[in-house]
Amino acid sequence: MANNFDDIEYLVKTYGKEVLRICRYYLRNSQDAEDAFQEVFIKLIRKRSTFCGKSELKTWLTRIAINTCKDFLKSRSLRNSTDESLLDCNDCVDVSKYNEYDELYQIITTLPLDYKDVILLKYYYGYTSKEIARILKLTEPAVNSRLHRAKNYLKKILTEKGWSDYEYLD
Amino acid sequence: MNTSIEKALHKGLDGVEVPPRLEVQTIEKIREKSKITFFNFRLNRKYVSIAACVVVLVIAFIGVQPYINNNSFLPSENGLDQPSVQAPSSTNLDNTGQNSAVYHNIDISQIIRQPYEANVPASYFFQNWLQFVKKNPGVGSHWDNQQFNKDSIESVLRISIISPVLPKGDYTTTQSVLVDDATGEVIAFRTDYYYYNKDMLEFQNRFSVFYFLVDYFNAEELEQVQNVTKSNGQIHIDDFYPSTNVYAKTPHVRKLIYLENSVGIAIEAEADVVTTDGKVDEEKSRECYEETDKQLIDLMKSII
Repeated sequence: MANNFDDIEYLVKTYGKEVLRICRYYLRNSQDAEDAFQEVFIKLIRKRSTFCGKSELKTWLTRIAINTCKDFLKSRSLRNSTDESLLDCNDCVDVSKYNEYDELYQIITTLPLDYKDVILLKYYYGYTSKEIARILKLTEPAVNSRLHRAKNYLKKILTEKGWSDYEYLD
Repeated sequence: MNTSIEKALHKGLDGVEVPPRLEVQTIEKIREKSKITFFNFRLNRKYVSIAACVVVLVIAFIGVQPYINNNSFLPSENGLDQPSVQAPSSTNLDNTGQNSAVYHNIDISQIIRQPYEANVPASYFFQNWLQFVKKNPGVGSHWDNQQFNKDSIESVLRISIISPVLPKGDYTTTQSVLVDDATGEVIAFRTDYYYYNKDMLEFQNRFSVFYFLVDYFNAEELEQVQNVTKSNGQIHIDDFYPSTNVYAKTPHVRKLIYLENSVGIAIEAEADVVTTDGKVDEEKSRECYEETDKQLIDLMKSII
């Protein structure tokens, strides 16, 4: 049962992969991602009484995961660490299989948080603007605007990095 | 189509698998925390009689404390001018919400805002009104982000500060001071209390409390906008009618202005509109404004 909060094992096994992906996407560091992963599920259990069932559990969990990761990023910045210094070997790609998609992914993960939010939800999870608006507590026009700005920002970065065309974006 | 972004994300994330070790650790950690809660509960039951005595003593202390130390201010852990959770100073106040405000030291940039801002505008009084009523409009002033405490305010304004009682909820605060450009002196203190949903980090309301030196402003103009008065222990609150036609909307949430001797206190709130499916819900927004208005009145009552 999707909303059975008492079955911890079920929750972790069912939603764990998605949660860890979000954590890795935002934190770009295995250790932090695993810590955040645990924190997300602890929050989920603690706050289960506030889940009103209006949205899907997955949507709710996505929002908790995103907010938890942002908390972690904040604490990381308080430790005066940088993203680069925290990248560990588990995050490094196999150079022999490295291609433009890997590079694009790495670039996307360095986008400002507001842009990362909408890019992940739109292009990885395939949520509609309406659903993204609900998850991020924004309006639909705001989501569309943010998506537009995110893509423009990405294009600018790619241009600076010498990517000559935007077939990868349009 | 943005197939490349999709492909890049799938390439970067699809391979992420949860290590069995992490699954086990997470499940154990959650179960362990559940056990700790249960254990604490049993422990409390064992010492229930002692706990009951302590509760009675605490309640008795809270009941007596306002009378023995009417103007006290409980400094927060970090020494900021955050309100305490003590009872209000006057016994005829509405005590709703006392002991319910919880303060966190989080950056306000972490709080998620709706795109609609200042539908009930914040900072209207200080950013607009006071500019009109300066004694010497030619001299500028500016806000500095600066933390202060009870002693700082009291030493400048020469009054006793009573900490505000805010509605139940989670808060984080910011502080700033208004500096007179001509003299470099601080002429006002401002604390913004951001009420937010702790779990989702969603903005709910903002309450702003200002203490300012009346001498820097045109007293007659200030008196015209004063809408909070106190006589014989009774507090009277009227509507707020600015005497100048400024652009700010003041539909349902008042600005509360109280003057006493040479010091003024102004309280404002910022309340976002309520949206449903991305559209502004006028009725709910109005209810929200009215609720905020009541909260502001209680807040003012708790500090004068």
